[in-house]
Amino acid sequence: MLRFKCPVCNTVADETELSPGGEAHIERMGPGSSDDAFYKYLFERKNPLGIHFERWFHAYGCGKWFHAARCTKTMEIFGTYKAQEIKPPKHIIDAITKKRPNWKNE
Amino acid sequence: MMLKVTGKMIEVRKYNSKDIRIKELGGVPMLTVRGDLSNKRFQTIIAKTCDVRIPKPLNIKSSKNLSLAWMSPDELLIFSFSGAFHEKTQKGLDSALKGLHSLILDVSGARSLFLVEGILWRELLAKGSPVDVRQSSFAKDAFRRTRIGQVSVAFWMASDNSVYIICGRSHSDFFYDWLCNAASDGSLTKYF
Repeated sequence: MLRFKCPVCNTVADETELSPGGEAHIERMGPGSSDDAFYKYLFERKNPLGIHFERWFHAYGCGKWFHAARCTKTMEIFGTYKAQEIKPPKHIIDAITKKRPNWKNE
Repeated sequence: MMLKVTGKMIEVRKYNSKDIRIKELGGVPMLTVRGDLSNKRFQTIIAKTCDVRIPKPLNIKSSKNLSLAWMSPDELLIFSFSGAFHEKTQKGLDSALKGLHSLILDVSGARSLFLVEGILWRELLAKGSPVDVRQSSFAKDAFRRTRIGQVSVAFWMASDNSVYIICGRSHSDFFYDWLCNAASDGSLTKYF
């Protein structure tokens, strides 16, 4: 069972109180982009066995989106951060590298 | 069953088990106010019109007449157990908040209110909700939005031995049955 700390309302929310929003930090490809880039933006998602950045929606709580970094292999949660961040903040990266020294953020 | 909000609290239905008493209460006016709760002007207007200051996150604050509950960083729930002020508050807020990005909506008919009494109320909530309901983390003035069973709810303590729960009106039949079933005799542990 996953338990995230919602960075908006600061409650520890259980997985069942949240709706998953899939991969985080996807760059939007709109008009002007190539067909290939648009296709990738629409359909191609990472599915790593390991560190993954995700979006979650606090559906049964404050009703806000937030970001989380977790390991899909161990179910470990490294931290959560605001939905407004366009890339993982330093303290999250630090928390991950502290436990996984060999991990590289691609 | 449609309930007319008169401001006079009525008992819609009730259930008693050995340890728990469950009541559905009707006629309690509720207002939803949306706006930036961190905005100083917004805070002053709410405090002036309602005579209660905006509660801290995850808290509820009450005066003699009405209560303010923190729903999210941009949402407040105002309700009253002593009715009549209702329309006045809505009109007052409506005109006072003009010019500020905000919304006021009467949600009296959209929510159902339950009162669960009995010293084992924590056991009952723990059966269906993922929230830590121990005395140390859920105490007086705490207001928590979460789920119980499959129903989206919010609850707060009415007294040491009772708790108020609100849920969506359309879920109230299901939720009432859920509560009654969960409270059935002999089924509650004595963990807390």
